Amino acid sequence: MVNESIHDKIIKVAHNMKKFGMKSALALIAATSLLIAGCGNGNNGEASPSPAASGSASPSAPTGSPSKLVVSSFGGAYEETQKELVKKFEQDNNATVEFVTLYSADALARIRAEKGNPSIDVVQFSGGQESVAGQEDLILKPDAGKLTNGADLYESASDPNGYAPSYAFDALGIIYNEEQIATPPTSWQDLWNPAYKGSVGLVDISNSFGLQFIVAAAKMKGGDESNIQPGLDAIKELLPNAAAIVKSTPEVGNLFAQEEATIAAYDSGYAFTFRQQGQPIKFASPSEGAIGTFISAQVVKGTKNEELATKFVDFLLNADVQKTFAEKNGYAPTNKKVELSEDLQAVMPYGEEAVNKLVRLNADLVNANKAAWTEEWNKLISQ
Amino acid sequence: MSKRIPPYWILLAPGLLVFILVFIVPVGRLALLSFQENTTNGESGRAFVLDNYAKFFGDPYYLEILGRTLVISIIVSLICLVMGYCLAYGASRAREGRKLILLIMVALPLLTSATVRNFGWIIILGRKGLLNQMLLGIGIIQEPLSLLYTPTGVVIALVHVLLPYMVLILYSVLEGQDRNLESAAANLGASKSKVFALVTLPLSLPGIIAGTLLVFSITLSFFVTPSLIGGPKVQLMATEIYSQTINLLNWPYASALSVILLITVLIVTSLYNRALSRSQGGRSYV
Repeated sequence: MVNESIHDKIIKVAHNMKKFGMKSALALIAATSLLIAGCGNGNNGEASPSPAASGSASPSAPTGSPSKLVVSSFGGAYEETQKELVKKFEQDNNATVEFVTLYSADALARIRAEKGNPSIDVVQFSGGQESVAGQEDLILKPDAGKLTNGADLYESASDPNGYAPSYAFDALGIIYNEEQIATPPTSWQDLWNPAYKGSVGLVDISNSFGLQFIVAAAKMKGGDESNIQPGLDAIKELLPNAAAIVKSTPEVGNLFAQEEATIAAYDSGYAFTFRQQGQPIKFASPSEGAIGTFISAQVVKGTKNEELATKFVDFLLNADVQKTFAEKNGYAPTNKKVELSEDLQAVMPYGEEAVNKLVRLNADLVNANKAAWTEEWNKLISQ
Repeated sequence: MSKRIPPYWILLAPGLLVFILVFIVPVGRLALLSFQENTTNGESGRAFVLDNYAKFFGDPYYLEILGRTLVISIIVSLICLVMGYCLAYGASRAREGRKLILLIMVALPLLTSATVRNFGWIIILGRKGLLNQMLLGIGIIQEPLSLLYTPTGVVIALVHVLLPYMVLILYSVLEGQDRNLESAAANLGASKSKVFALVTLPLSLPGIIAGTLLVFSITLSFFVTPSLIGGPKVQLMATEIYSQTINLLNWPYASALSVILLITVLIVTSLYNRALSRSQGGRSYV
């Protein structure tokens, strides 16, 4: 019976189709596409509860269903540790935190594309992207009163433009294979040492650390963020000594693992991670001053969970959280109250004096010039 | 009185609808964006300026990127064609029971993601990688070859990634051929090489065209392999589009690059098709 009626309907539709004019067919297509577009929008909004969601929410605790926070993180060991740490936050706030793996640049591009209706509530930046995000009105300035840990931070943790302060420091210095290089490097200049010909790892400008190194080289030769040419010239001299130019952290790790590179300008936090993975990698802070990386979490403008998102930012500023983060991943705390073992103090910028020594690049200038530098750099290294 | 819809429109409609929604509309928006001025504060700039195209065609550096992309795509297509033809020919002439096994072996790499396969190549191609160690060990080379982060490495890895597509297309054509034609030619006194050159090869031309065009257009826009194996030094259109989109946030320029790449594909495809169909007495294969 059922089959028969469906069959009848199909015949009817087919019959009607025959009578349909071209115009009505087009109208049908247009209507269908509108319908599909409409559905798409509906699903993005919070208004339409899907049957699956309401079904799973029913057996939850009397406090109501947990609110969900989407946070971007950097993947690997970094994200693993954050996932561990966040369990306490989830309990305290009756929330679930979902991590999305995005490097800083990808995260910035994502929230830019989703402006006004973001799918991420809190975004994490390690390359000064908060400067661009602030200019483009993509992130929110947190209410100082709501950041309960704000008073405990080093002064240099605060953001020059008033956005959320950094929750971790790390430093661009020199990482090297201690089995191959007996005397620890002391200056950026050591990278140009002819003894390391063929085994210098270089990092592309698309990576924050690669970009920082170009500025460091410029500063070494008398330039700065507004005069990059001396840095590019210096790197041109370094190119023949390079084992390879790579883009990402796993590739840097691979260069050292395969002993193609024995020395490179890279980040203290990742040097720590590589060492934990069993590589004989050490970090040296150059006498010219290591370039600071100021890692922060920012509340994305347009989030529907502003309060919870701010709480999450504050959570990362907490002393206990930062202590664990330093112990597990090697990122230096920005909270003065954190006390670390001497072993750990030795491998990261720890304490007021060390923190103040970190060179902070002018992020606004760097971002304004980045496109021009990238073009110059690409022409320099292009094959 | 309205015209009746021809039946093929009804068959085309579902696919066409999807095509319009997920291809024509986004590409149209991309094309519009490519005429916009880039701004640093995220607001949309002046519309309908030719700055982005002027920048591309005015700078030999960007033209070189396009040229390099084309050359690598052509080389990869040709290598895939030669290797793929041998494989497909062998498989289609194999014993009935073995054909399936051979085809599964060819298609097997498609089951792993290209990213994973490329990470494998990073380990194989490195200066201290498997390949160099083996060659050094045998004594064929004295100095390790530079393969990783070079165009050669990119070609090797791309051929590996794209070969299955070529083989599967050529196989279906070679397998579908009427073998009696080959027997007839042989019967009439043609040598084996003549049979191949005058019968088998011309009959498989549609497969050759479809296969090379597919491999060519995939290579032209392939991102993962050039990014991982080529590194920052081997700059191709796809990696440049990525860099402009993600690192520099210059979306209008990235759109212009995409439009240029798309138009290049269309031009090359139509030229190729026209040249080959002319040589085949006016038949068009695509």
